Formats: sequence, C-alpha cells, structure tokens
Amino acid sequence: MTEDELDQILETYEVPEPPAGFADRVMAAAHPRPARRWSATSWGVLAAAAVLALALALVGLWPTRPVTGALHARRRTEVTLGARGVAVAENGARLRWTVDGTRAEIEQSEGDVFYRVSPGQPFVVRTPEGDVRVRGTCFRVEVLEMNVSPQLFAGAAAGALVAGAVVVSVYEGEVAVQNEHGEVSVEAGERSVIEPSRAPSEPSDAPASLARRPRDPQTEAARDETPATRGIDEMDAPALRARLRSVAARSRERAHEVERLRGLLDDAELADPGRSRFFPASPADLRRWADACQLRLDQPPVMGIEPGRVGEHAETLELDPAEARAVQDAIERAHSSLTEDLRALYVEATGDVDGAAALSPRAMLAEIRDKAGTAEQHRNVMHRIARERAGLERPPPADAELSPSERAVRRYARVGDEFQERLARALGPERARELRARDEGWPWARSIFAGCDDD
Amino acid sequence: MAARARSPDGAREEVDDLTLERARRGEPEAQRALVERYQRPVFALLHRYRGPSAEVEDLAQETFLRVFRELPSFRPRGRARLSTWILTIATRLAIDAQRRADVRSRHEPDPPAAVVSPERLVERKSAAAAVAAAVSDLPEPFRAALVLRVYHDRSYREIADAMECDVGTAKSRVSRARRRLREALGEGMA
Repeated sequence: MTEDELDQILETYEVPEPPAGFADRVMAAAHPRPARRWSATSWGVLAAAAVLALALALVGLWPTRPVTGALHARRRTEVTLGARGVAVAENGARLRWTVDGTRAEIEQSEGDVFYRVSPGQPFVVRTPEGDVRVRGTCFRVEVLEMNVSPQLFAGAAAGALVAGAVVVSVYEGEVAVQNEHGEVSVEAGERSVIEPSRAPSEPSDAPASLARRPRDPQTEAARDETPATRGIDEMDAPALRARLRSVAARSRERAHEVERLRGLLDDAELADPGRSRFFPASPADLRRWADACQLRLDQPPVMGIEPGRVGEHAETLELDPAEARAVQDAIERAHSSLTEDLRALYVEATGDVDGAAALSPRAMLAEIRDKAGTAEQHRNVMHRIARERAGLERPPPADAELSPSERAVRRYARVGDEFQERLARALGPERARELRARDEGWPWARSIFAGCDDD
Repeated sequence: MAARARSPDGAREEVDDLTLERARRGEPEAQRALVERYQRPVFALLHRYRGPSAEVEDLAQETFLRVFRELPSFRPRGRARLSTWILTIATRLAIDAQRRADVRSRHEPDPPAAVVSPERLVERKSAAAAVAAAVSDLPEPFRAALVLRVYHDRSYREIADAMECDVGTAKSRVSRARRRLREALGEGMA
C-alpha cells in the first residue's frame, strides 16, 4: 500500500457532527445561573438543621454515608478504620473495608494484619476461609500463602482469591471465628487456624511471643519482624502443614501461570504487527507466524498500474542519489516483471486479453482469485506458503500442476525477495539486505494475511 | 451530515481579533462564537482519538471550559494558531482520559490487537469502519500524532508542541502510526 493509497483510505473515516445545542450546554456550564440569595430566615433554618444533625451524629443516629477503602500494603502500613478500629497491615497484605457509622466490615484477602478495635457495634474481618467477629479486642489475622487462579491473577478483585489457610491470634478480649463449617470462640493468648473446607480449629495456646499483646499499633509497627520468619519459626504442626500445602499449591499455580503468560506473550507479539519484524525473520519467527496462520509480506510499490516511486523512503533508507536511482530502476523492473506474469495468469484464468492489458497487478490478482478460486483456497495457499517458509512443509515441485490462482498468489508472495535479489545485483547483497532490514522490511507496502480455517 | 477526513477546518480562518479579545475578557457572546467556530474540529479530534463514546461530548465541553479559563494566557501573536492551541488542549484532555481509562482497565485482559486480513477487510461493511478500527487500535502516542497530522493538517512543530515532545519525535510518531495502519489495513488485495 503506497502512501497515497493509505491517505485515500484514511479519508473515508468520517465522524459525526457535534450534537445540536452543544454550544448552549457549554455556555450554561461556563456561566451557571447565580445561586438564590439566602434570607435571614433561611440562614436560621440552616443553622437549626446543622445543630440537629450534630446532635444526631453525637448520639449515633444520623445516617452517615459508608466510608470505603482499599489497601495493598507495600510496607508496614497503619490504617484507621472509622472511629473504632486501627489496623497495621504488613507488607503484602490486602484489605478492603466499609465503615458505616460504628459498624465496620473488613475484607482481608491476603497477608498479615494486626487489629485493635474499641468496644462497640459489629466489627467483622472477612477472610477467604471464614469470618472473625469482634466487639473489642486486639487480634491478628494472617492469611497464609494463597493459590491464585490464572484468570484472577491477570487482575481480578483481591477478594476473589482462593486462600490457603487463615491464622487468627488473639491478644486481648475474645473473638468469634466462623465459617460455613463451624464456629469457635478464641480468647486472649489463643489462636485458631482455618483451613480450606474445614471448620476453624479448636483454640490452642499461641506461642508466647505471638500471644504477647503489643502496647499499641505504633509499637507493633516498630517491631523489626516479618510475618514469614516469625510465623514459620513458631508455628505448630497444623499451621506448618497448612502453610506447606498452600506453598506447594502456589508453586503449581505459578508454573501454570508462567506457561499461560508465555502463550499470551506469543499471541500478543503476533497480534501486534508493529512489534514484529517483517525482515529479517528468524526461524523461530517464521514458525510462530506459521503456527498462527500468518503470512507477512513486505514489498516494493508494484501493485498499481504504474510502478511506485522511491519517494520519501529515499530518506528513510538513507539512499544516496545513485542508490535512489538504482532502487527506482529495481522498482520499475519488478513492476514490469510482475505485471507480465500476472497478465499471463489472468488470461489463463479468465480468457480476457483486453482486461489483462488494462488492469493493475492488484486488480488482476484480485480477479484471478475471485474467478479461479475461493477465498478459502486463497487462505490455504497463504497458510501453506507460511509453513513452507518456516520449513514445516515442502514447497510444491517445479512441475506441479497448480491452479492459476495459486500460481498468482505464489508469484505475488515472492515479490519482496525478488526485489532484494534485483537490488543485490545492483548494489551488492550486503547493501540490499541492509536496506531491507533498516526499517525491518521494505517500507513501501506491508501486509499480514492472517487466519486459519478454524478461525 | 458527517465531517469528512482532511476537513478544511485546519485551513479555515481563525476567529477575528475582536471576537478573540472579547472572549478573552469573558464576554459570553464572544465565547459562544468561539465554541461554534471550533466545536467541529474539537469533536472530530476527540471522536477519532477516543472512538464513538458518550465521553466525547464531556471532553469537548471540558475543552472549551478550559479554553475559557486559559484564554487570557493565549498569545495571539505567538507561535500557535488559536485552532492549534484549542486542539492542543483537547488532545491533552483526551490523552489524560485515555490514561485514566488504562489505569481502570489495566487488570483486564487486553483485547487482541487488530490484524485485518484481506478477507476480514472485505467482510467489513466499509473501508471507513476498517479505518476507524485501525485508528482506534493505534496505541498512544501514535494515535494522537496521526490524528493531528492527517485529519487536522497540523505541522510537525504544532504536533510536537501539543504532545510536548521534539519535532523529530513527532515525525517518528506519525511515521510509525502510518506504518502500523498500512500493516493493519493490509495490501488491499481484496
């Protein structure tokens, strides 16, 4: 496709007119009508309403809007959860919360978080394996290593993760740990483990260091410990088994994920023509393109009635004047040769001698394909050529009886290589190759023919 | 009636100096005249950059509100024409909106990039639809550079100013956008 042809195609892209009344809307937004002046009576009513709202808020009756938030901690981070709660999230912890008045609901999908909660209305920490309900206490919730489903790994909500196990350690007060399989009450100095598809374990004594209640979150935050080292050293057998299972499962998931990402990367590279080369193509490139049913062609401007010009690509290719003349000469010879070959095939396929004399190579090729073959046959030929280039299939022997359509397509597909050979004769093989590789393929026309029969 | 590509907007005369001066002073009638004069290229740019979307009108409105706010700083005898200055504001708003959208969707699987085979081109109802799809598939910053160059006849210097890059980069972006379009739209064998 030449630059002019591209411009002609781009000109077909029309856009709608601006909607009627748009200027009115802009002016209305730019010059809003002045607000109504408040009278002394109005201010009195407003002041009374404010006092009432303040009074209601103080007794907890004013309907406040829920406050929501989310955190994926990259370091130890303290979060205030409304008026009653403070959380210290360790590196890697994920939280979402909704605080509505004095009620709070926290979704902890990952990591290790210490909570301090003042007495009051329900305060719930939801984990992937169960809920922790408290009324006033200090406790820690550790969501151990998780298995992440491939779809979710690409970016779903953290709350949808699949957990390995959850450890709840209580420093002060009492919490209820529950899931669909059961409920236990965990008191200060105890902890419970929630494993997937099981009821929370009966409370057991937590190791002394874990059961020690920090003086406050700030003190806790200052401790130079990481959950991983502290936890593993002091875990009991059930917790260690849970962690081992979850780490092993995570490793398997990660291995699958690596394979999936490799596949996606291949697809992305193939689907993004700008990222891929046309020339030079490595054997691996050719195989991948063939596997994806892609045939990539880079060509000189030879598909019009007249041969194209070197044009602005003399600059792209950094041609000196003599080289520019040589390249132009090669374009004209390539055009002449292609036109002659396609004319013969066109007459063979259609019997139309007059048409052959008048049509461009592009038009002849399209008509040969339409009259002497189907779109499916054409696609199959493209795919076979891609496989032959990749060495996955043998080219047809020279004396094979191919249809005019297939011969035309094969002739067309050779144009880029033949042009390089012509230039090699004029400028030398190294310079010809260098010119083709400069912009990763001949700059005048590039095509990707894509699609398999089962697409 | 639709606006054609390579519309004459870029070549049309700018608003007269008196209207501009009155708009700078905040006179509503002059501001309205300015909106009516430049709404067409602004919509065309935003539509081609963002694709058909209800957001286009919001962005167009925000463009003009920002124009009104910043008009006192516009220098009529400066390097940029008024139309280019307005299109620059629209471009930057569109790019910002695109980045916000990218952040919102960064965890969602990317849609497959367009590789338009001749057969698929034929299946499309018109070349215009294929061009619209190919342009919308161009990654930023190539898309903005191409739209400004091809559809608004802006110079490379003007594109460079709008995109806050140097002239060479603007040229490169337009060139690469055109190359990607050639690849996506194919040789046109069909």
